[in-house]
Amino acid sequence: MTSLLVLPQAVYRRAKAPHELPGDLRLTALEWALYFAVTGTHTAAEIGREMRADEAARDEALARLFALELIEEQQLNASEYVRAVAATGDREEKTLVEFLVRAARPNAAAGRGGEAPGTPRQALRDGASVPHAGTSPRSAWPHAASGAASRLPRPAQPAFGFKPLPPPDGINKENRPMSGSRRLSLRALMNLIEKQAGSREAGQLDIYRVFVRVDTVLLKRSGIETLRFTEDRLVSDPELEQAIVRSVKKTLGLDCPDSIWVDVA
Amino acid sequence: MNPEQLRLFKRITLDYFAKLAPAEQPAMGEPHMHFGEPELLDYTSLIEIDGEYQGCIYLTSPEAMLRDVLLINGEQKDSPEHLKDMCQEFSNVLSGNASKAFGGNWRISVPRSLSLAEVRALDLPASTFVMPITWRGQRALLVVGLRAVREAA
Repeated sequence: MTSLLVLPQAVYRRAKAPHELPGDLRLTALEWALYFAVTGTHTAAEIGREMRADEAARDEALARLFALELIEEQQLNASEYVRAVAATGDREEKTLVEFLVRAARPNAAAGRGGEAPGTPRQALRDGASVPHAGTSPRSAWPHAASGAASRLPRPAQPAFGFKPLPPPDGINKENRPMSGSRRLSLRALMNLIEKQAGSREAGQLDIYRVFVRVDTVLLKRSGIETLRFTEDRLVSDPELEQAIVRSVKKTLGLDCPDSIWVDVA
Repeated sequence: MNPEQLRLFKRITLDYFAKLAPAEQPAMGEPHMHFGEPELLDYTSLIEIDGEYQGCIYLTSPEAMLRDVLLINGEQKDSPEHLKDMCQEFSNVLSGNASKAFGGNWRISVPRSLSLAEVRALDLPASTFVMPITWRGQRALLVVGLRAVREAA
């Protein structure tokens, strides 16, 4: 079992699907929330913010999920990585040189796996503290609130200030920041499909064909059991959002434009 | 299934009700999509379809509507057997309409008439396109339920 150096810009995905989980697996609420939230789409920082989890608790939970081999890190290309860094939420302005230097050495302070033996992270790496499925999380895995010694050391906060311009429509949608203020509008999406189809009936049929490919479990999880073609719903579940975007592409060959996302207060 | 085919299918299905009682025209309500457990009423007339997609088309009706149609056809008895016979008549109409509307692109199964318990036992598609039909104060649902072929396998 290996441990994890959690960087805020790291993007994780599930290594095991929900139906593959052992029946006796026990996780904390935060760990479960993170397990379901990591879909290879958003950074650790974004997901943590969305859940209002403090950074230490977030990193600790991700490290445990990783150690239990429930999640794995998503590899990114350079463009995705830059967007991931930008999505971590660091608002401090940096020069390009500072950005590049820190990007090349993202965790200079913590070093590359260079922690001293005996630190909690090293202990985690050794497998000593990782509770196994079926053990009580509270007893086997002290919570962040139970004392500093139980926390994983925080990696140095990368001092990135690079703010990329928004990409053109259809580019890198899969790495769209999950800010709390942007939601996919189903009404806007349905309007778009109807417009593309040329008639209302053709549009409705196309919309239905798109939704045939979307897992109804995801829809129901967001409370969408019945959907009228004139109705608006804002999608807040990133997994559902991605499933819809993928299905639009697969079914209609259409890249979803920015106009179907709306800002919410 | 293209929009023209679906439009034709809806129209000839409505025509069936219109001919039953010319003074009381059926009305097609605003369609919607439904996800998860299908919306089902007392009796369901169902055909399975197979082509670009797999799935089924069904008309699910309240008992009172079937009773009305029985009366229009001069049948006073409304036992479950009679109601199911009427439902089978709907299934035959549905099958004929589907053959006419969807032509050679689709294989259409033998029509079936099912009680609520029977239809609930089937593995119906979870995503459905639902078109409500209101007729003589009763509401039936004309439903298209599809699965993408690859996902259905």
